[in-house]
Amino acid sequence: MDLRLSELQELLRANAQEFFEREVTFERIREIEAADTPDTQLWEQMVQLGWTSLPIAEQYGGQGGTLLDTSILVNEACRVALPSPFTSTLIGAAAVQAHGSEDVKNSLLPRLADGVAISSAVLESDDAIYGDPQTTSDGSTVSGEKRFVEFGATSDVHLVTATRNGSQGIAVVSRDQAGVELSPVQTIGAIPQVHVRYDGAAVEGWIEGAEAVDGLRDLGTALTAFEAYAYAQKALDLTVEYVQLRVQFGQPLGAFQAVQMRCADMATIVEGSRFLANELLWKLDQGEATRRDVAMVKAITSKMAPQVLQDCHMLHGGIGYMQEYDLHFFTRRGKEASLRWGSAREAMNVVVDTAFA
Amino acid sequence: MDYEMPAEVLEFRKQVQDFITSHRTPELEAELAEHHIHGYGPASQAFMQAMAREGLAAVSWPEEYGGQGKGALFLWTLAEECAREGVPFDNLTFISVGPMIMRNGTEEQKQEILPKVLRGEMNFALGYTEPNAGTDLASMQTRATRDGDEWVINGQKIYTSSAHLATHVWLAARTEPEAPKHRGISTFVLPLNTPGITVRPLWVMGEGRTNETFWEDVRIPADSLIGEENRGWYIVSGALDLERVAIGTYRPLEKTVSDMVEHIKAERPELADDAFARNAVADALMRVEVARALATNNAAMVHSGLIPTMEASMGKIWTTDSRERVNDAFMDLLGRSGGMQAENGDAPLDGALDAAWRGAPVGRFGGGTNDIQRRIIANRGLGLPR
Ligand SMILES: Cc1cc2nc3c(=O)[nH]c(=O)nc-3n(C[C@H](O)[C@H](O)[C@H](O)COP(=O)(O)OP(=O)(O)OC[C@H]3O[C@@H](n4cnc5c(N)ncnc54)[C@H](O)[C@@H]3O)c2cc1C
Repeated sequence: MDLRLSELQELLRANAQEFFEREVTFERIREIEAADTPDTQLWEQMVQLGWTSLPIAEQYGGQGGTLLDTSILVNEACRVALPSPFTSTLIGAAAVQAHGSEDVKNSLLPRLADGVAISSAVLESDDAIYGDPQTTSDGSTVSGEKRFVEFGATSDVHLVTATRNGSQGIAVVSRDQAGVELSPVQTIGAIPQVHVRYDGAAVEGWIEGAEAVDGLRDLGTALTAFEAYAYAQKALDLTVEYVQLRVQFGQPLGAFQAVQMRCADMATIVEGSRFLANELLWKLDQGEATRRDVAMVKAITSKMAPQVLQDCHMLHGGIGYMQEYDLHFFTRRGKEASLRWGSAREAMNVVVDTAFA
Repeated sequence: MDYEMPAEVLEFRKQVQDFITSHRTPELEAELAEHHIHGYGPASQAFMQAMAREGLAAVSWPEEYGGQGKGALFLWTLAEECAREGVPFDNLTFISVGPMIMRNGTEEQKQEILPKVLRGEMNFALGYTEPNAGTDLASMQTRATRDGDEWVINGQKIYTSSAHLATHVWLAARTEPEAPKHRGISTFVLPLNTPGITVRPLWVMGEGRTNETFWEDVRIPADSLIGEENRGWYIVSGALDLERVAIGTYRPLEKTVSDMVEHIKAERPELADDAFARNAVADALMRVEVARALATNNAAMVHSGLIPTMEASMGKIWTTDSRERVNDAFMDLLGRSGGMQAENGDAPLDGALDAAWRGAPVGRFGGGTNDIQRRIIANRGLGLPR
C-alpha cells in the first residue's frame, strides 16, 4: 500500500493545476455561468492536452489511463469550479469501455478520445417517478423522459438507460435529431442541464444488460461523490487560508479556539472523505467495487459536503456571502454534487438495504 | 404562570393577517418574486408605508411617540406574521433604531424624527460594519470630526443593506480616536442623499443585495448626533440586542416544514414510508417546536419588562442553525428536484428550499455570529469564566 501519487501522476496534477489556474479565472467562470453553456475553447485546449483520451484504452485511440489517473484532472477542474462536460464524458467513456460491444466501442470511443464527441450519461429519471424510456421492440428508437441531464444540450451523444423487450440496457442516442427535445432547468449548482424528451429518437447503438446499467450508475455515483469531496476540500482550503489572514480583536480568526475547533472538525471528515473517494475509484479500477461500497461513499460525501460548505461560510462571515468573492461557486456546486446520482437519503437506503440483505 | 397568548394579541394577529391579505397586490407579488434581482422596490415601499400609517408597525411604541403602547408580544407577532408570509416589514427601523432614538435622542430630535417614521416617510439603513470591523465592531475607523456647527464624516462602511432604498442612515462613527475603542464612538442620523455618500451594490449568494458605502467629506449639522458624544458604543450594543430578537423569527422555518409535509403528501407519498425521510421530517418538526419555545420565551420576557440576554442568543442560534439544517435535509430528501430553483416554475416548494439554503449563512454569522452568541451564553448567561 502506498497512497502517494506516482511521479507521472504528480506531473499530471501539477500540469493540470497550472493550466486551470492560468486559463480559468473566476471572471471566466462567471462568463461561462452567464452563458449557461460550456466553453468550447477550453474544451479544445483540454483535448489538445490529451485529457479526453487519458481514460480510453490504446486500441480505441486512447492512453489507457485509469479512473484514478483521470480523477486527478477532475479534482483540478473542481478546484477552479469549472462547469465542464469532462466528468460526464469520462463517465460515459468508462461505461462504454467496460460494457459496450466491440461495435459500440469502435464507433464511440475514438470520437470521445479525440474530443469530437462529448457525452452525457442520462440515468436519472428523478427517483424513477418518470420511469425508464422504452425502446421500440426492434431497438431502433427510444422514447421517454429523462431529467437533469448535465450538458445534455451540448453533448453530441446521450447514453440513455432504457428497457428493450423487457431487459435493461443503455441506448446510444445522438442529440442532434428531431426526436430529442430539450428543456433547460435551473439548479443550485449552475451546471448547464436539461430535461429531455426522447420521442422516437433514433438509436445508434445498444449496450445490453442490467450489469451495464449498474456499471454506469456506479461510475456516475463514484465520480460525483469524488466531486463532492473535491468541492468541500477546496472550500476548506480557502477557509483555512482566510482565517489566517482575517484579523479581528487584534488576532487572526484562526487563533480563536471556536474557529480552530470548527476547522479541525471539518478537516477530519474531509480527510476521511478524501481517502474513501479515492479508494472507491481505485476499487472500480480493480473491478472490485460493490454496490454497497459505492453507496457508502456517496452517503458519506453527500452528508459531509453541505455541512462543511455551510461551516466554511460561517467562518468567512460577510465576505464569503458576496457574489464577488469566489467561495459560493464551490458551495453551490458541492451542494448539487451531493444531490446528484443519489442524495444522502437515497444512498443511505442502499447502505442499510445491503446491511440487512 | 399562564401559557395562554392574550386574546388581544390574537386579535392583533388577525388584524395583521387581514392587512397582509388586503395589501398583497399583484404589483407587490411581482416585485417580491423579483426581489432577489432588484431588492425591495416601490410596491414594497408602499406596503411598508401603509403598515406604518395604519399604526401596525409602531404598535409597541409608547403612546407619547404615536404608538399604541402595547407590549412586546404585539411587535413580535407582527414581525413573525410578516416573516412567515414573506412580505416586507421594516423591522430594524421599528424594533431597533426607533426605540434607540426614543431612549437617547433630545426632545427636538424625537419631535423631528419619530412622526416621520410613523408616517412611513423616514426609514433607516444601518451603518455599523466596516471592512475591518465586523465581529470586532468597536474597532470601527470611519471618522466623524467636529467642524464648527457641523460633523464631517470620512471612511467606508460595508454591508450597509438598504442604503439604496432607505431615506436615512443610522450611523456609528469614531469621534474620539485617542480614547479606548469602546469609548470613542458616537451615533448619528442623517439623510442618505447628503453629498459625499457613494453607494455601491454588493450582490449576495442568497437573495437580494447589500451595499458598500463610501463617505467622503460628508457634512451634516451638529444636531445629527444622537445621544451623548463618545457613548455611542452602548447605544449600538442596545440596538443590536433588539435586532437579535428580530433575527430569531422562527415562523418562516415553520412554514417551510408545513409546506414540505404538504408537498410530500401530495407529490411524493413514497417518502412518507421512507425511514430517513420520516427521521428528517420528525427532526424538522422538533426543531420548529424548540424554536417556537425559545422565541416565545424571549417575547414573553420582554413583554413582562425583563431583558433577555442569553435567552435572545439561544433563540438566534437555534433558529438560524435549524434553518440551515432543515433546508439542507429537505433538499436531500427530494434528491435532484430539491436543488431546483424558483425560475423553473415547477420547482418543489416554488424553489424555497434552494433560496433558504443559499441564504442560510447570513443568519448564522449576521447580527452577532452564532459562535459569539455561544460565548455570550457561556459567559454572561452561565457565568463561566472568560
Ligand atoms: C447580507 C448581509 C447584510 C448585512 N447587513 C448589515 C447592515 O445592514 N448593517 C451593518 O452594519 N452590517 C450588516 N451586515 C454585516 C454583518 O453584521 C457582519 O457580516 C457580521 O457582523 C460579521 O462580521 P464579518 O462579516 O466581518 O465577519 P468576521 O467578524 O470576520 O467573522 C468571521 C468569522 O469569525 C468568527 N469570529 C470572529 N471573532 C471571533 C472570536 N473572538 N471568537 C470566535 N470566533 C470569532 C465569527 O464567528 C465568524 O464565524 C450584513 C452582512 C450581510 C452578509
